[in-house]
Amino acid sequence: MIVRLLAVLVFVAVAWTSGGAWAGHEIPFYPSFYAHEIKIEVMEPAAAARLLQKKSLHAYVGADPFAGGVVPSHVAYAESLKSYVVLTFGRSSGALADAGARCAAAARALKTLSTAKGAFTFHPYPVTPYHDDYLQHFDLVESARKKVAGQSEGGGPPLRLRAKGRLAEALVAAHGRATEKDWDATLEEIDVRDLLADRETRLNGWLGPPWLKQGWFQAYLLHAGTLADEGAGRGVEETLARRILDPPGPSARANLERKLVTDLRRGCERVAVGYTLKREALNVEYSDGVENIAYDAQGGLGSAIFLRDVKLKDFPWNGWLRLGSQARPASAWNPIAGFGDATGRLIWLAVGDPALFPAPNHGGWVPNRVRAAPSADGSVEIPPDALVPDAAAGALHPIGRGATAPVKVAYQVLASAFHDGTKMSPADIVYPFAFASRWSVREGRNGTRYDPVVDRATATLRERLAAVKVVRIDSEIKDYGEVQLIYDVPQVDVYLKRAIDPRYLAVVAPPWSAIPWELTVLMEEAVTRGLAAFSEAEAKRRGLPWLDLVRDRKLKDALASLADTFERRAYVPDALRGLVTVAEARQRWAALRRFHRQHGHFLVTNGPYRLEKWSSDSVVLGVFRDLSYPLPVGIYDQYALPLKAYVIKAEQRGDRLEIQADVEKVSKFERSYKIEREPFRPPPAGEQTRDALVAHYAVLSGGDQVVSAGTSRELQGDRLVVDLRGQLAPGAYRILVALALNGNLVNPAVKVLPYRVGD
Amino acid sequence: MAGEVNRRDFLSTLGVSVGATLAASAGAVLPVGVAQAQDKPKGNIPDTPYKIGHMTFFTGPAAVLGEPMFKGQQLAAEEINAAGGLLGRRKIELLKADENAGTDANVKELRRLKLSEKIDFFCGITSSGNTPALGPVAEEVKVLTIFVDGCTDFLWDKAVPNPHYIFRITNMQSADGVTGALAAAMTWPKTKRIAHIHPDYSYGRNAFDHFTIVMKKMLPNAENVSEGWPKLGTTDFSSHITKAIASKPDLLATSVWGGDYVAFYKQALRYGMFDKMKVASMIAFGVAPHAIGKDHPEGIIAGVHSNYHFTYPGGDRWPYNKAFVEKYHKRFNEYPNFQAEGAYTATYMLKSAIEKANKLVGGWPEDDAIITMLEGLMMAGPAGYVYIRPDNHQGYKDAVTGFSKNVAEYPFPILDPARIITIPIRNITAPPGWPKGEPTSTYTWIDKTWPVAKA
Repeated sequence: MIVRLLAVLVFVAVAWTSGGAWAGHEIPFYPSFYAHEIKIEVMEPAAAARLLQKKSLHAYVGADPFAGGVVPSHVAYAESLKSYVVLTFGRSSGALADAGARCAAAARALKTLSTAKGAFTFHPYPVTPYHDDYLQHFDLVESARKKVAGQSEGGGPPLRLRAKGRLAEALVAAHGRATEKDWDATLEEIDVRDLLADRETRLNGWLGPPWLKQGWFQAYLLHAGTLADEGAGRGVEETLARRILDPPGPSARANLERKLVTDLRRGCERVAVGYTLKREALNVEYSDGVENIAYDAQGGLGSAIFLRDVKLKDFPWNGWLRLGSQARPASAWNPIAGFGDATGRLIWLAVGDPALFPAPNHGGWVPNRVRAAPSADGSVEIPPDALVPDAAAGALHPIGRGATAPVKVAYQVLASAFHDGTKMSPADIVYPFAFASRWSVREGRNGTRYDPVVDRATATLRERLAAVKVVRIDSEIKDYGEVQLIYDVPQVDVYLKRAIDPRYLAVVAPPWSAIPWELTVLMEEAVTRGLAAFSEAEAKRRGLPWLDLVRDRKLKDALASLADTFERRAYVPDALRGLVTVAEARQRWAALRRFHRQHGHFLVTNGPYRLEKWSSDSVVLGVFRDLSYPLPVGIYDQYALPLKAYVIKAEQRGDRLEIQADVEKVSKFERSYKIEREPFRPPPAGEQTRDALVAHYAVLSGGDQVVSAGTSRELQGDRLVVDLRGQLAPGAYRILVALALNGNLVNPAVKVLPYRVGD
Repeated sequence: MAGEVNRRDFLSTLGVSVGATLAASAGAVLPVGVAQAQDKPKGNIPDTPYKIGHMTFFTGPAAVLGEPMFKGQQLAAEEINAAGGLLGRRKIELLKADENAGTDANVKELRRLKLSEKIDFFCGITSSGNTPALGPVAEEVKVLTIFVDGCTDFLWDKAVPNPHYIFRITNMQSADGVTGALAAAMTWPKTKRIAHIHPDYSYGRNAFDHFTIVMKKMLPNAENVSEGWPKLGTTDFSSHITKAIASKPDLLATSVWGGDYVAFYKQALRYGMFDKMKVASMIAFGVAPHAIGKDHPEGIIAGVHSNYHFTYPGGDRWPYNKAFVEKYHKRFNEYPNFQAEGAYTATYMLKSAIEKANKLVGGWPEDDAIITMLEGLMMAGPAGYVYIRPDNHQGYKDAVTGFSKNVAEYPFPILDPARIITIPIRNITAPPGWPKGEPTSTYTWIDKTWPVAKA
C-alpha cells in the first residue's frame, strides 16, 4: 500500500494556465516568511546598544541593552516571562527542618520582600499571569497575597539568606546582609528556559510535552525536586500522573492542577517570591525598523512566531533582518539534541519547522505543518497494516488484526521540498517514530544505541502511540488565477493508547519530520560508530564530540564518506524496507551529498530558512522561497499586536452570567499603529473575523473546589453570556472570569464575581 | 493611422503630456463627495441598511493594497451615512471578507454573501487571479458589482465578454506597459538599447509585450538587448541586474512589484545600476505611498499602475483630490493609494447611479435601473474624470505616471509634481468593437493601427 502511495506522492506542481493573462502584479502568495535574509550575530548588550542606537540592528535577543540608561525613542520592547524568584530552604536546616517552622519563617521573609524594590514583581505563587491557567489559580494567588499582607514583620528570628545572582543580591542587600555561611535559605532567580531545558526538545520539530507552558506543570518542575518529605513527594507524583492521564472535563483537570500546586507549596521547601520579565529591544524606527512583531509570552523574541511574523518596515515583504543574540553558541548544531542555547535555539527555530509550535499568547499550540482533524473517541479499530515501532528490531511492523485504540487523530501533513531538492515522502513522516523508539531503549552501561535526551523527550509520544498509518495522499490546489500550486497532502492517522485533553490532541504524536530520513540515518550511523553523540550528556559519558552537522569539520568529512558508501549501496534502513525503493534511496543519498558539497554542511531541513553562512559568532540564513513550501508570507499576522479585552460589567440573570466588555483594536497607519479601547460590539452578521471574544471562567464552590469551568463565545446583543443552566447545585459561588481576544490570555484582567443559585 | 509619423506629433495626438493638469471645473459632470446638494428622493425609500460586501486582502503581502481599498470605501460610506444614507434613508453597512482565502474560497464567499447575507452590492477585489473567477459568479447570482482592481484584460476579453452586473473601475493592465513605454519614449527619445527585468508570470509578460509593441512604434530604432525573468519568489536579483548592466542599455524597463521591487532596487543601488542607465518602471510606486523608502533613486519613471498618486492632480487645480486626500489622511492618518481612491470613487459612482435611477423611476430603484445609470456614467473623482464605458463596463481615467522625487514634506518619495505625465486612456486602449486579440485586444490594436514614428 505504502509503495503505491509513494508512486503518487508527487509533491507540489506549479501549473500555469495557458492562453490568458490572468495574474495581476499582486500574486498574493509568497512562500515562507517576510525577511528574505536573517543575520544573527552574537554580541554583548553594550554592542547591541550601540548598533540599536545607530539603527543598524533590528532586535536583540537577550538582556535589555539600555538597562538603567536612556532608551532611544525608536526602541521598543517585547516583554515576556523570564524567571521565577524563589526562596529555597537548605536540606538540613535544624529548626527549619519542620514544615511549620519553615512556612512561618518563609512568611516573615515574604512580608519583607513584598515591599522590596527591584526588577521583579512580587507574586507569592508559582503560577503567574504569563500562564494561561492563571485564571483557575487566581483565588489561590489572591489568598497567598492576603496571607503575606496580614503577616506581621516579627514573630521569630529573621532568616539568614544566601543570595544567588544579581537580582537576589540586590534584594537581600536592601534588607540586611547576605551570608555565604550558615544560611537558612537561598534567594535565587530560576530562568524559565532553564527550568524547561530538560523537557524541551528540538527532535524533528517536536517541541516537548503538550503542557509545556502551563503554570501547573512549571510549578511542578520548580518545586518537585525540593520536596523534603518522601510521602509528600509520592503524593505529588501521583497527582501529576492523574493529571497527565487527562481526566475528562475541565473542572476535574482544574481541581487536580490546583491540588498539585497546593501540595507542592505545602511544605515550603521552596517558596515563590515573584517573577521577572525579560525586556528585549526592537528597533521600530520609521524606515530602518521592524513591525508586525509577535513574540511568545514565555519565550520572548526567541520563539518561532517572532521569526515567522517580523517584517521590515522598508519592505512590503523581503528584506535583510539583522538580529543580535546574547548567548554564545556553545551547544552543538544537530536537530536531535542540539541547538540548546538561546542562539542555537533561534537558528533552529528558523531552519527547522515544527509540526506545531506553542501558541504565543496562551497555553495551546499553533498548527504549523500539520492539521489535526477531530478525533474519533471511544474504541477505534486499528487497520491491520498500520505501523508500530519495534524498538528491539529498529523496525516498523504492521500491527495486525484485532487491535483497537481509544483515540484516533487524523492528520493532514503539509509536505514540502527539503533544502536539498528532494521531495518529502511517507518514509520521512514515519521514520521519526522508529527513531524515537530505537534510541530510547537502554542497552546496558556501554550501549551505543541509546540517548537519555531522546528517551526523555519522546517519553510522552512512546507511552501513548498505538500505531500510525499513512492513509492516502490528497491533492490540494492553491488557485491564484494563472498560477495554480498543486500540493500533495499526506493523510495520516495516528492511533493513541489514551484519551487526552482535546486542546493537546494534535501535539502528542504528530506525524512529522523536519529533516529527511537519510539525514537521521546518517547521524544514527555516526553515533553508532562512536564518531559523535546526539546529546551533550551522552557525549560526556562516552567521551565523544557532541554531534555538529555544521561546524565539526572532521565529523563532516566522516559523514560525507558514509553518505558516499550509502549512496553506492542505495542503503535503506530496516525500518523503511518496503517504503523506499532502491532508486529513491540512491537519489536521496546523492542529493544529501550534493547539498554538502554545495553548502559545506549537512543541516538539510524542510523549514522556511536555510543556513547559508556561519562563523564563530554569526550565521546568515536565507529564505527558502520554494513554491512547494506551503506557508505563505503573512499567514501568522494575526499573532502580531496581541489585543486585550476587559470585563466592564457582569451581572447574573437567572442561571447565566451576562458580561459587558471593552475590547482593544488596532488602527494601522503608514508604518505605525495605535491601540484603541472601545466597547465591544459584535461584528456584522457573517463578517469573517479572527478577533473572537471568548469568556474563560471557573466557578468556585464555598469549599474552593472548581465545580464548573470552560469558555463561552455565546453572544446576546453586545454581551457575552456564560450559560450555567443545570450545572450548579443551590448555593453561593464565586466565578472567576477573564476575557481573551483572539486567544490572548496573557496577563488578563481577572474579575471575581459572586453568584448564587437559589433552591 | 498606420504608416509613419513624426514621434512628437504622434505623442501629441495621443494626448501624452507632462505636468498637465485637469480642467479646473468639472462642469456638468458630477463630482464625488457629499457637498453636492442632493435632490429630495422621489417616492418611498426603505430605511433598511444597504449591505455592501467588500472583499479584499486584509492579510498577507497584498494587504498593503487591500487595507487602503477598504478604507477608501469605508470613508465614502461614513460620509454618505453621515448625510442620511443612500437616497437619504439607507445607511451603508459594510461586510468584510478576506480575499487571501484563495480563489475557490472567495467564489464560495461571494455566493454566501449574496445568498445568505443578502448583500445589495459587491465591491473590492485586488487580484487579477480573482476577478475572472468572481465575475462569472457575480453575473450568475445577479449581484451588482464594481471591482476596484483585479485589472487583467482577460476579464473582459475572455471571462465575461458581455457583462451585465459587473463593472470595474481601475485602468486595465495593458495600460501599465503602454504608459511606461510612452513616458520613456517621450522622455528619453534617444534610447537605442533596452534591457528588461520582469517577473516571470503573466503580469510581467503583459508589461513586456505592451512596452515592446509601443517602443516598436515609438522608437523603431531601439532594440531589446537583454531580458531578465526572475521567478516568483526570487529574492536575489543580482544575476538579473548584472546581466542588464552587461548589456549596456540606455534604458531598463521593469515591472517587478512590491517587496520584490524594494529588494530589487536596493540591490541595484549597490551595483550603481541607476547611474548607468535610465529606468522606467510600470509599478514602482503602485503599492502604498509609505511602502517605498527614501533611499529610492530619484528621476526614474515610477509607475503607479497607471492609475493614481495622491499628489496628482494638485489641490490648487483639482479640489476633489485635495478634499479626498485631506479627509482620508484625517480619518486614517496616512495617504491614500490608488486602491483607496478607486474604492472611494466606486462608492460615489454607485450613489450617483442610484440617485439618477431614483429620479427617473422613483422609489428604491431596481438593480437594472442602477446598471443603466452606471453605463456611460462620467464622474469627477479624486483622480480626475472617470467614465464607465457602456459596452464593456470598464472604467476609464487618464493614465498617470511620473518621476520619483524626495521632498521634505513626506517621509517617502513621491511623483515629482512638476513632471507628471498623463495620457487620455481612450487613446491607449482598444476602442469599442475592436476584435478580441492575443495577447490582448489593446496589443493587436496598437500593432495594427499605430504608425511607426520617425525621430
